[in-house]
Amino acid sequence: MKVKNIIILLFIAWGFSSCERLFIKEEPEPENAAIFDHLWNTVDEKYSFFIDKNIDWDSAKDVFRPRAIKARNSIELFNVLADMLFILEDGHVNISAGIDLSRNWDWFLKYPSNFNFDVIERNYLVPSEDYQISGPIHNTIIDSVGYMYYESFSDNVSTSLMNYLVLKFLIKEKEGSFEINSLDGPVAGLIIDVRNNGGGSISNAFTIANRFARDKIKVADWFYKTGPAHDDFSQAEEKFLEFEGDEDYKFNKPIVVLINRSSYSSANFFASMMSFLPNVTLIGDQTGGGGGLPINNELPNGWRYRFSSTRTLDANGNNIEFGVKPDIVVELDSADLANGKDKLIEEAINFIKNQ
Amino acid sequence: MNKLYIFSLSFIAFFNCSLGLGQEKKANDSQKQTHFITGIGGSYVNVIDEGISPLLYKGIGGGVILGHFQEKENSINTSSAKFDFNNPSSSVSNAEMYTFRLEGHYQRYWKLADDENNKWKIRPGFDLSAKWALRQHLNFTNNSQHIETRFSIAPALMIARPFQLWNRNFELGAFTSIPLLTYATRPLFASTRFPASVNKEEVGFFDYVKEGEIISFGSYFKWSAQYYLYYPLKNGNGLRLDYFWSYENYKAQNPIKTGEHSIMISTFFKI
Repeated sequence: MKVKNIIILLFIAWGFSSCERLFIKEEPEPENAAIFDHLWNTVDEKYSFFIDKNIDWDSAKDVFRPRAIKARNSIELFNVLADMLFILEDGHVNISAGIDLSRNWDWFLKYPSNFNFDVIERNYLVPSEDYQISGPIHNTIIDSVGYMYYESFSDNVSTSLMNYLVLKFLIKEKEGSFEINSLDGPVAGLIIDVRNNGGGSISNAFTIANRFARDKIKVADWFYKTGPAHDDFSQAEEKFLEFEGDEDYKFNKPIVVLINRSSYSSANFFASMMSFLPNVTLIGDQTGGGGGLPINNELPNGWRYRFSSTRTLDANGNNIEFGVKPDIVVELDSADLANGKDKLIEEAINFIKNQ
Repeated sequence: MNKLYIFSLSFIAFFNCSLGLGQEKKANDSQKQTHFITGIGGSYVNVIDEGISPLLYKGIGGGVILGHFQEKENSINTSSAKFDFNNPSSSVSNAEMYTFRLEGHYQRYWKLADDENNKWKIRPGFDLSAKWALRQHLNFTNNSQHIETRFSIAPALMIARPFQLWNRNFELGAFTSIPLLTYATRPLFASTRFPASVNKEEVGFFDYVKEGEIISFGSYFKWSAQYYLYYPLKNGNGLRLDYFWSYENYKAQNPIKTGEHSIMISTFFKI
């Protein structure tokens, strides 16, 4: 065989094999209508709360599609898409376009904040000789009650860290030796403060909650979207809490979880899970919600967006997308704040001491 | 451009390598032999996985291959396990992903009558294949990792053309296959979770291959081709330059199209 023939054969084979690009194409500059349709269709098929929120998504298309087509530039188009997504009333729904991040933050902006970290830091944490920042958790002992502030579930916690914190709150030095789990130990109970915790990794919520669980207990059902219809969901995926940690020292004393409207997503789920433990009381304001696992996608023009794709019902059948109510409603008092007092912490300490 | 670069480099490297190695004048001893194959090379992917994004992701990477090649009097058996890693990106969103692919093949071809005396050796056969692929989008959070599997049975064809060049023996050839039946699994419609792992605390390895669907033409099309240039060495060993290509179009709930290329240089050790 001649060299020329070999080379021709090789190039024919190579060229022939590249033909998949005929079928795998992308529009270099998609039209506004194509961008809108992709967003509307994907959300229509994969968003999980249309029925729960009684949202008329078809009418949203009628209203916003003509506006999207008329948009003269990317800013106008972004604003139309953002306005359409706003009606989902979901903190897990955003478009990110570099120029802006669309958002609906009514779930906390419409309500009192009930939180001021500066007051906590200056009046409860720094003055205490027990104050530590253990990993992502600020912790101390306030008036014989343990206190933990966890700002974000995006910051990882481990079971060993939780073991350390529980040990700190349970161990008692007595005549040169240590006693664990003593009823007259250093704390009468524990406050877990997840106010202004906007969520993060669900696994961190389980790590903390499991450390305070006892026997295995069901806390929630998750439902995954399995098809394009608004009610296409998987069977329930049951979620349980079960003790995980050092068996030698379990925390059986009263626990108060402090929540506010900015406790969202994983913090919302954490509050819901903890409410099923018999020694736990929720104090503060209702959580902001966020009961769906958000997923990401991209539009044909490269903008990124996300939306909720699962539903979560707690073990009593309540949809936690709409928040978790506290057992005891307490709001911050401005006069107390001016005096360096956080009313929620004060109420929690009183509640624990009266148990 | 990347493909051309890899192709050219590999071609030149192979010839530089092979010309420096000795060969028996009449190396007709490839028949009735078994070889162990090890190879390495570069790869390139195009992918639109609508479970992740409507955008085209394309980019280069590398891969390795292990296998065996057994030639008998009337048939050829070959098996291989190929792993490749790629780092495709989207020119529209500038986002990146990692793709990991493990693909196994068992192929059997039958020699036609008078195979030895034919210049062009045409050998029909079949190809059993299994594929596991992971795509990890670097800018996503809860749905960053998408896994999928395929198990296919396909009629296959091998064409070989031995020739002499510069007084040395070579063989140019191709393998190609189009699956008739495929068992495919993809994650749930709006999740990266697999149907079989719902309601399980620990995801088992076999959950990824359960509750899939059997698909064929109409909803699934794949065309795989492998072109090679084989250079037999002394003692029955050999070197082979391979160009692999496959195109896949799966009209699943979340459709996916991929085009995958790789160029590999393999050593054939006689065992």
